[in-house]
Amino acid sequence: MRNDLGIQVSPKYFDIMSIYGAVFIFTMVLFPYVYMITRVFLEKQSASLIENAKLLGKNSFEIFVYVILPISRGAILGGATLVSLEVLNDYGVAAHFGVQTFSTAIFKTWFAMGDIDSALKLAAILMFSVFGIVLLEKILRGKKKYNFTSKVRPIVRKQLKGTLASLAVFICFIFFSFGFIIPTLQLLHWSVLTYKKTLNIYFIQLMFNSVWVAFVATLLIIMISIVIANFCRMEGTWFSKLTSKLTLVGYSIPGAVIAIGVILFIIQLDHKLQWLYKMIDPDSITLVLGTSIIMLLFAYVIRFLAVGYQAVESGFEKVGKKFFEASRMLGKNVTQTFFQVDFPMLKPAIISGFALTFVDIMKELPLTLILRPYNFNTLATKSYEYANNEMIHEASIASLIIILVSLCAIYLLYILGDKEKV
Amino acid sequence: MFIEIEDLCFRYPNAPKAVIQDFSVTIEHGEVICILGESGGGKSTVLRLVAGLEIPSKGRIKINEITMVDQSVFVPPEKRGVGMVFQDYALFPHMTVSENIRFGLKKMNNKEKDFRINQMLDLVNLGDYGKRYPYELSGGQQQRVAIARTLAPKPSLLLLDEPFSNLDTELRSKIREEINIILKQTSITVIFVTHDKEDAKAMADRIVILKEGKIVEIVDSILF
Repeated sequence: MRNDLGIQVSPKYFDIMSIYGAVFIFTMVLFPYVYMITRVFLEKQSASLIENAKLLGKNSFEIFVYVILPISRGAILGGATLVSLEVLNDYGVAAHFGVQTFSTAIFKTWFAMGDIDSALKLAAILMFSVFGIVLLEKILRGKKKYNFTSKVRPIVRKQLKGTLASLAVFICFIFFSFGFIIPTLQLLHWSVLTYKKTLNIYFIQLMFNSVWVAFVATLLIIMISIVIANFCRMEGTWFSKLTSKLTLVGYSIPGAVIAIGVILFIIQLDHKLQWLYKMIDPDSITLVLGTSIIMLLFAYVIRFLAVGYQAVESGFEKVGKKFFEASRMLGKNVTQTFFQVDFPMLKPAIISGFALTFVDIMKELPLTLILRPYNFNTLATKSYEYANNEMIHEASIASLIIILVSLCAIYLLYILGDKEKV
Repeated sequence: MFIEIEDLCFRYPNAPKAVIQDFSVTIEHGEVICILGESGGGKSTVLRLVAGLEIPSKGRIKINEITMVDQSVFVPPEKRGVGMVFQDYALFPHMTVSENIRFGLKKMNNKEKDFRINQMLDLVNLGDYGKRYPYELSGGQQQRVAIARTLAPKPSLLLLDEPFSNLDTELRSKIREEINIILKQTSITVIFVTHDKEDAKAMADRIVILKEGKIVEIVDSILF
């Protein structure tokens, strides 16, 4: 844009490729985490809270400070925690903007310097900061879980008028344009410039890789989620509660740390299974699993189980136990009940869990970069490679496809949400 | 005796007090028994224990001379031949009325199943409603479907959990009468649970009064 308009800005005053640039990008992109969680929370609150405060003589500002902010503390903190975990997990933005983070450092020490010990130490420190953040959230949130079930009348949004309305639209538009419109238009522009060069047989292979690896991993995640969620529904024991909590851990661990853990585990496993490999094929290599796609799939399951699980679990919660019991009383055993009653009723939850997990895996970068088999590329790794090799224009089509797939998933969720309201 | 319940005890894990203590009753074939008590007094738990949805910590349940549960035996709910109408009916929302009734039918060919479904729909006066979905029915109609679905596989014992709690007062006495007629037609053994004395008097042969998990007395409904 600056080139087209002939504007020169001294890099001393404005350099987007810096830590400030990265902070700006993260703010624009991760803003929905806090916004959506807080909004959904507020939608569930009763309007009488605000009406009562008004009757007690408080003005809008006072209501915001003394009522709305304190009750939304949990939701805001939850969103903020997710944002910090996402930033700690990030590799692409940090690497592209040349910002040194734990994730980029782990990559450097492991790949460029081959220093596994230091990479492990970095990963351990990173893990501690993750635990620190999660612990901090728990402490700040305290015991104040404002969960009112007095669903009398939900809070109704105030209609703004005149200047205030324009201002609100303007502020929302800033986030929408920086987070979505501008980057997408830029990518579209670049893809027009480069499509002749990048769209070839190899690109189709790339798409195929991305789709099938995400599909298989998502399928595994959904199946595991169903088994665990069903187990938790049937048995309310401490063990089932622990299993359910454990599924959530993976999502809070940064990709680079999971990658290192998975590599070490799989290499050990490969050594332990030597006898089996030799029995099948006497000339077998040592690292059978370690050089296969199984390692990557395994890591995806650990990292993204939480995404699928939460969707499936909320489905089970909504359906409850009564239909299961009714089916048992009508002479069906557990398996028949699952396929004839539970599964059809869980379908919306399963589809939304599938869509969310699929998109997350499609755009995953750090895990895929470290754990992919030799010469295996996905849309995400390829666009990273292009960007890394100063060929950012060529990265555009791959990125656009990822955006497109995500849009499809959002549309699917939207339709499902609409259906449920009926 | 058709049903024998002996010294039944039940306690939820981590709960300090037992929900059901030393519950014993015998029921004859075709008898309608009401368990009457306040909410939270363990009435529904008795039904769930008879149905096999919960496992008692002590005691024995025999149906038609066969032990369903004791210290060493546990027959799963789908093998007890017991039907239960749930408080909120639990009609499968993804199935039509006919499909809901068909769900429990086994060991029949399609023609026999269709015949049985129509028979049940006629019994509950919902002949034309087979193709509707549960959400297209009123509360009273849903309840009749739930009863038809439960009676279709010909259970030897029918359990009703607070059958009228979801209905308003006007509808209540009307539906109570309707159900009474249906039950008389099928001459099935029934255990039902309620907190309403009127319900108990109108429907039961005998009334078991339950307080804090213990039987206070068992009375003939004529004397109640």
